[in-house]
Amino acid sequence: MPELPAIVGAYEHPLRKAPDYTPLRFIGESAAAAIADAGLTPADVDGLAFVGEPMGVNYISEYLNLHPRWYDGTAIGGSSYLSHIMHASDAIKAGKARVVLIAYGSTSRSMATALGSTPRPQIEDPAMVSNMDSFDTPYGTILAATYALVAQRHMHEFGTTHEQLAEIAVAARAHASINPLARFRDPITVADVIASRPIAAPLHMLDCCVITDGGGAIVVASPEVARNCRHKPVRILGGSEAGAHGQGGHRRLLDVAANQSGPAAFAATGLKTSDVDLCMIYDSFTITVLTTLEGLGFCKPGEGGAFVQNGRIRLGGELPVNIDGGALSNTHPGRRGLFLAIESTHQLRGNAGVRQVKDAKIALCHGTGGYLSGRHSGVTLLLGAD
Amino acid sequence: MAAALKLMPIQSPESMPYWEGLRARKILIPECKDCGHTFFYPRTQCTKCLSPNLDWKEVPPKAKLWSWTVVHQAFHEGWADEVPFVIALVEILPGVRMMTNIVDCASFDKLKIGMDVEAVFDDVRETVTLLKFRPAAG
Repeated sequence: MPELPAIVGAYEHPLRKAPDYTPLRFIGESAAAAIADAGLTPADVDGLAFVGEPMGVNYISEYLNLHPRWYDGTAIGGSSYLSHIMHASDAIKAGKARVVLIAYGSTSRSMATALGSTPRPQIEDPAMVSNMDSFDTPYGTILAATYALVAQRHMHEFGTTHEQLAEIAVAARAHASINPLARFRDPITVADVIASRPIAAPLHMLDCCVITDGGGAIVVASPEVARNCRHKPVRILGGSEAGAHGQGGHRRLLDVAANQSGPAAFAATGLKTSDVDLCMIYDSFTITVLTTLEGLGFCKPGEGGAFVQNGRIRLGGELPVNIDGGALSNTHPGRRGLFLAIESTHQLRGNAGVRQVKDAKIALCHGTGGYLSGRHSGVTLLLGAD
Repeated sequence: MAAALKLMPIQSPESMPYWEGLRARKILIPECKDCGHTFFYPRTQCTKCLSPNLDWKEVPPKAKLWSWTVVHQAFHEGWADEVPFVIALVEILPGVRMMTNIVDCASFDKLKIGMDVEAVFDDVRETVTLLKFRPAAG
């Protein structure tokens, strides 16, 4: 493996409900822990990435009293953090930074703001005026419904079943059952998923991600810095971003962003699907994982339902997916992207404990940001152990 | 009470003929005068060639069901009295699809992708008509 920029620090905040916390406290505690995990100090940080909702990076820079020379405020939904990691790697290669901090915190659960599950922002708000929202929001288009439309279409085109989708939730829960931090740890069955109350048909409650408070942070560093960090570096091999959207009404629903970012990420790194030891896929809903696996090329379009069966995506299977329990059972404070890279880092360091994927060398992270049947981003990132 | 809290569309200058069309019981879809492409939602340029030379094409008040979901969970109080209700993507012209509600649907079991649906012009406010659909008669 060539000497590439690497993830040298990673931290997932252990709390899942913290009514006394602010998002900033999650961010601050996570940042400090990730920097310490790397064996670095705050003074080493010269780059900062944060989802740049109005001037967000400025606020975090101030709160943590940092003086970065490189900023990234990419805000493309829950996938943003994978973009930040990729951009940080490029910036380090270009000499624009040596140590980049990426942090996230949210109190979605305590604030009872199920981020993303409410209708689109009030379009009466002049700051959010959008001609495009006027053609779906008035129909009561909630986030779960936009994913359900994709699931329904997938079932129609390929005969995918509820039971096949449910296995994705069952596998996630099986993984969560061995993760002491996970919000839900009691094992579930396919029958439990089908019997859970309907949210937006064909999706049931257990097809949907949990809502938690939480936070996390990642530190990306140059190869030179990485040599002296506490853990073995997790190399940023490369990746790709993509967007999918309505295409002026011409979108078919199953043409998700992963269809473009997946093959591009493999082309950029010279890797192929058979090289991947584990996947961390943003599982906002079960259907998200199914369409993503197809888009990334692990199976042909339409074969995702069969692909996830028989333990293939469970720990010990051919392609373990979401080994921390995923957004479906571990944590989802509103945006999941950073947690995909944190779990991958533990797996590639070989310190994931009882949920360690044996001989894990290559991890694939894929984040989806936005609305699966509408506009969304997809970011595919490949990470490797030395 | 709850109805007042529903989110309403912004009838912007670029889409105003569409909204005025619905009030007059017509469905107007933008069509590019340069390349002939039809698309939705309305905007000031063609989604294929970015030409600003657009026209409005009136299309028949019918469509085919592309995908659908029944929403059981009210995430917004404006819809609390309406669950369960149907959100759908329908194909109004070959390749041109739009979000909508399927109304007057006696049984959700009857919903089948590919089925014919017909337009319902729903005057949800004095100045707002939404294009919805219902299963086609017969």
